[in-house]
Amino acid sequence: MKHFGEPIQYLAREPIGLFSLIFTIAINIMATIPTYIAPYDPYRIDASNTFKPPSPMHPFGTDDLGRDVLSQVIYGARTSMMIAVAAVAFSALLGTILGIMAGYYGGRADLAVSMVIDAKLSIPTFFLVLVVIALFGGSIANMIIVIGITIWPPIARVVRALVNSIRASDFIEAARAIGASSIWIISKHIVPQIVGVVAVISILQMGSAVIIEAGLSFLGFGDPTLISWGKMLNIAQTYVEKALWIGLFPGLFLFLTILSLNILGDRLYEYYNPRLREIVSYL
Amino acid sequence: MLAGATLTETVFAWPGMGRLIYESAIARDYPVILGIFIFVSITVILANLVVDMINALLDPRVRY
Repeated sequence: MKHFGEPIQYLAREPIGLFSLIFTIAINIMATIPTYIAPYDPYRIDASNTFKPPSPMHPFGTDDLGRDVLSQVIYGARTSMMIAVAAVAFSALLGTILGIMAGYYGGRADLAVSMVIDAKLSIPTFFLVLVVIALFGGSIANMIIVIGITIWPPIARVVRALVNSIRASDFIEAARAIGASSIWIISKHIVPQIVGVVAVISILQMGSAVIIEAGLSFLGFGDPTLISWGKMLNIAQTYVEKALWIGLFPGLFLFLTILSLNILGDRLYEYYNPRLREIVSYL
Repeated sequence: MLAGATLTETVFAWPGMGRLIYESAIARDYPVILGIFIFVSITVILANLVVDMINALLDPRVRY
């Protein structure tokens, strides 16, 4: 945990960085313990309470079936975060392993992995995910697996380039000279140097995963038993004039979540590359 | 970016390949899905090629 102190201090210097950090933590808390935070049951239909505007009783109002929008937003955070974190963890693991294999061993492993990466990168991610989900159903497991399988190429590409450049350094040669095995070199010398970059890319990809999931739910392909911000936006389409709050709050939270994740990733990247830091602090 | 095309065309009901792939996915129209995939992949690769060529044209340091 002590390693987190410095990046957090760097983030907290600007109001935007601080806000992003706090908002992401808040979303994660909402995602982990929604049952204790949500004031009402989000699935509870209350036909007498439909289309109530935001009030002290229902801070975000109620939707077309009388369900509380705030509770739905909180449970929606859980869906988005669950899919994003699981998919990105899977893709980070897969991408790192393949990238290290390609970068360290070179030769045919490199060729094979590079060809797969290039092939993957020319296929648009969203279409692939859309088609697979349409064919195999939109359960959470399917979404996590599909998103994980489609977003690992950028990580593998970056890790491969990084491992190539690290492999050429002198200390690796020295380690080999005293008889260190490949596994030792990889785990002790190479992995600590790529963890930072992989973390930054993973955070940025979490934003992508959230929006892919929201887009899929919006189109109707999400898990039907789960509450998702995309699904709420889809329902809200019909009621934009009558009840703006049904779509406003999920849309706002979706926007802020992705924004916070992107800012976090961006600031962390600046933290690891001091040359990119701005001297002037903005808002 | 292409995700945006699908969502935008669906919301605004504009006829386009984004909406086409969405509707084919629902209707399990496999040939159309395959066709769109091939078309889009070729376009992406072509676009990369053109960008690389323009880069080589504009930047004297780049040599292929």
